[in-house]
Amino acid sequence: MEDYKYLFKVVLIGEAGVGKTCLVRRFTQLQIWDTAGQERFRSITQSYYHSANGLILVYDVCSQQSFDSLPLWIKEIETYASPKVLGYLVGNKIDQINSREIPTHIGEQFSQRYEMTFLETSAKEAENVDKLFYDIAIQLTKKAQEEELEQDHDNVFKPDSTTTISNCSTCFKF
Amino acid sequence: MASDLPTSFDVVVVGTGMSESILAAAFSRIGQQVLHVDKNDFYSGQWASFNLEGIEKWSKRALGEDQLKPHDSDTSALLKEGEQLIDMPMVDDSYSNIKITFHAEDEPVQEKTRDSSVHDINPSEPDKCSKENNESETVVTKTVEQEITDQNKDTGTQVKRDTDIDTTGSDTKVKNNPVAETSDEERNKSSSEIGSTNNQETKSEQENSSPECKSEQENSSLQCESQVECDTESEKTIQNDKDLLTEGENQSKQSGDCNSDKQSVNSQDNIKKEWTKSALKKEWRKFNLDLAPRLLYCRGSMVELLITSDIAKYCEFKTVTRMLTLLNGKLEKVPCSRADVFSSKDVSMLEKRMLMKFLTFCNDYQNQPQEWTAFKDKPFIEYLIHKKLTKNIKHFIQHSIAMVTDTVSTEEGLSKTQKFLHSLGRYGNTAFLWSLYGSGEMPQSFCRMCAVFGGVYCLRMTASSVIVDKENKCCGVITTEGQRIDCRSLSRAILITDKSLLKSTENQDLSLLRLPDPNGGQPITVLELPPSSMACPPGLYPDKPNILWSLYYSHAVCEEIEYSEERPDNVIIMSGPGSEIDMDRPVNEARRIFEKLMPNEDFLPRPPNPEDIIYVDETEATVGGESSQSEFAESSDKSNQSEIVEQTKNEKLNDQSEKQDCDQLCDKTQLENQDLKSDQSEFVKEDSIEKETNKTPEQV
Repeated sequence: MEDYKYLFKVVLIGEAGVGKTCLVRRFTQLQIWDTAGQERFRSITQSYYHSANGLILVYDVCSQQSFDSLPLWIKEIETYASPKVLGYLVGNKIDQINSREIPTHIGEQFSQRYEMTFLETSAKEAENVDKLFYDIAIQLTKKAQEEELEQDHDNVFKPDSTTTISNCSTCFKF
Repeated sequence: MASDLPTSFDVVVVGTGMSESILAAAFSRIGQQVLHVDKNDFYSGQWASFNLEGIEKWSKRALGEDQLKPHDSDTSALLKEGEQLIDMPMVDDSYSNIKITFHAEDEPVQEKTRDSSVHDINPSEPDKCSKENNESETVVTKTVEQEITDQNKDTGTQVKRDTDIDTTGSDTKVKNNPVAETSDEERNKSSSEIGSTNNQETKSEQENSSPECKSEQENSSLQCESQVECDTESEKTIQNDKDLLTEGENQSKQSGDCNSDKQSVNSQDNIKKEWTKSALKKEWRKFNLDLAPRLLYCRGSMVELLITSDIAKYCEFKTVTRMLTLLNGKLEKVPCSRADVFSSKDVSMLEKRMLMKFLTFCNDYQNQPQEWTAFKDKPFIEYLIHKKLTKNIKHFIQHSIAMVTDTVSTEEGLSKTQKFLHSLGRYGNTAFLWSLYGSGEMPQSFCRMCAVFGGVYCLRMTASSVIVDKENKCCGVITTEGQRIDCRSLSRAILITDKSLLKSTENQDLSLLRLPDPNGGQPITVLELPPSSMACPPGLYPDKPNILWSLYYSHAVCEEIEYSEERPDNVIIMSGPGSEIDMDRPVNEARRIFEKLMPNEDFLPRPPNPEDIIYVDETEATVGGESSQSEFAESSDKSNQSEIVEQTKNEKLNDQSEKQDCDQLCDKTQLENQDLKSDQSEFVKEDSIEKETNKTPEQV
C-alpha cells in the first residue's frame, strides 16, 4: 500500500539567513520541514518540533552571531523536541573562505558537548549536502530497524519512533 | 528584535487562537501580506497546550504577572493628520480562580529536583537505567476534570459561567512492594524509581524483551502498545474510571480486580509505582495540558477544512477509542456504532432495535419531516419521550450522542445526532479525533500554513493601539515595540477580544465521558488521554486513579461578540474558545468573516502541487528574502514531492478501507445476531446513505 517503508520527519532550525532553505532545496529525499521564516522573530511553533525524528541545527560559519545563538536553539530543542531525536550540527556557507569566522574545531567542540553529529556544508557548492541527508536517512533507518526487531507487534503506535503513522491502526493522518 | 519588521501589511492579525489562525492562513493563502502577532511567548493563545512548567508560568501570567505593556515612547508622533489612536485592552482578565495543587505525596528533599538531565544521565549509578525502565512500565492516568460550579447565567447581558477545571492525575498503587519508599534521602532524585526497584525481579521474568538499559522512549512505545491493547479490552478498564469520578477513592476492591484482569492481559503492566510530586515534575515536558481541550468530529468542518486545505499534513491525530457515560451510578460504555449496539451487553434486545431504528431515522431526518416537525421547537427530550424510548436509550442519545442539555430544541438535537452519526466509522469506532500533543497544535498548524505562504510571525508583541483615520477606518496599529505598522486601507485588521471557555474537561485516555448536570446546567465533559496521545508521560494512566495534580480555573465565556459602535468597520473581533467540545465553530466563524471580506476568493484552497512551483530566484538566500522565499521549501525536492502526493493518495485509500473495515464489522455482528433481520436491512440502507454523503465532500 505504501511506496516507502519509513517516513521520517527531519526539522531544520537555526538563525535566519544561515542557509537552511538552501540546504533543503539542494537535496533531500526525506520529508524535511523548513521553518517557513518563523525563526526571524524567534517565533517557531512548538508543533514544529513534535514528532521530529531528526533535527538539523544550522549556523553560518561566516556569522559569529548565528553561532552565538546556538545555545538558545538548544534550549528550545530540549524543551520541545523528543530527547531521542537524532541531532546534527551543521556549519553552512564554507564556500565563503575569506569571510569565515568560526573555525571548524570550534563547531566540532560545540557539537560534542551536546552530543550532536557535526558537519560543515556549502549549499551553494553542494558540498557535503548529499552526505548530510544520506547520513541522516541511513541512521534513522538503522534506528527504526533496530526498534522494529524489538517489537513483536505491528500495530503498535509509537509516537516517538519512526515508522510512519499510516502503518498503525489506531492513529490516522488524513 | 523586531527592528527589521516590515512596516506595512495588508492584514494584521492579533492573537494566535484558533479562529485568528485560520483567518490568517486564509488571507496569506490568497497572497495577502499578513502580520500575525501574539502578546504571549507561545502560540495558540487561549487554545494553548502547556507542559507542567509552562502551565505554572501561564497561571502566574494569567494572574497579572509579567504582562506585556504598551511601549512607553510617545506614539502620537507616529500619527498622520486626522488619525486617532484607540487603545487596545492589554490584559486578559477572562481567567479567574486559578488554583494549582499537587495532590501527590511529596518527599521533602525532592522538591528541588526539576532538572531532568540530572536523572537522565547519571553514570555513577549504573543500576538506575533499569530502574527507570521499571518506571515507565507503570500505567497511570492524568485526568483533567472540569466541574461547573456556578450558574451565573442570568447575571448580565453576557452569559458567563464559571468553570472549574480539575486536572487530576491518577496514581497506581504499589503492589507487592512493602519496603519501597523508605529509602534514604540521598537518593531522593531517583526515589520514584526506587519505588519500583523491588518489582524488578517480577518484571524481568515476565518481560521478553531484553532486560538491559533501554531509553525511556522505547519504554514509552511499549507503554503505548499495552495501552492500545487495554483499549480494545476496554470493558476491563471502564470500571477504573469510576474511581476517577469519586475523586480518587481509588483503592476499592473492584478496581483491584480490574488490575489483575489487566495484568493477565498485559504482562507489562505488572509494575506499579508511586507517583510523587517530584516524579511528576521530573516528567514536566511530557505533559501537554490544554486550556481549551477539544476533539474533532471526524466529519466536522474542521476535519474537512484540514483535508481540503492540506493543512492536515502538519498534524497528527488519534481516534477516541470509547465513549463512556454515567448511568445509574455506573460507568457504561456508550454503544454508538452499529457494531457496538449489537455487541453491547448493557442494552436489551428490544432496546437495540429501538436505538438502531432511531439512529437510522436521525441519519436521514431531513427527508422525513412528518416524523418530527411537530416538535421542531420543542425540547429534544420531549421528542425522545414521544418516541417512547426507554430511559437508558434516552440517556445515551441525549447525553452521549447528541450531547445536548435539556433545553435544546428537537431540531438542534436531531442535527447534532446526525453530525455524530456521520462522523462515525470514518477513522475509527467513535466519532471523534484527538490531535496529538494537545488541542494547542491546531492553531499552530494554520499558522504554519500562513508562514509557508509568507505570513510574518512575531510572538511576545502585540498591537497596543489601533490607528483610525478620518473615515473611521483602521489604517494601522502601534505595536508594543513602539513601532507603527500600516495596514492597507482596503484590508482589515483583525483584533481578538478575550472571551472565554466554558467548561470542558479533560483527562487522559482517549475516552470521552459526558456527565449531565443534575441541575440542568452545562454538562461536564471528561476526556481521558493515554500517553500515546502525547499529552502526558508514559506511566500515567488509569489503573487506580488518584488525583496527582489539579488545576482549577474559571474562564469567562463569550461566544457572541457585541460590536461596539465606534469599532472601525475594518476591524474584526473574533471569539475565543467557547463551551463546545469540538473545533467547528471557529472554522465556520473564520470562513464567514473571510467570505464577507473577500467575496470572490477561495477559502483556504489546497495549495498548488509543489511540482508546479517555479522558484524565481534559486540563489537568493540572504536574510531579507527569507520569509517570502520559504514557500514550500520543506517539500521542494521533486522526489519528496511525489512522496507527499503519494501519501495523500494513500490516505484517501485509508479512509475508504477504514470504512470497509467498519462495514465488515457490522457484517460480523449481523451474522451473530440473526434474530435481528429486520434491522439488518435498515443497516444496509443506512450504509448506502452514508456512503453517498461521504462522496460529496471528497468530490468537492
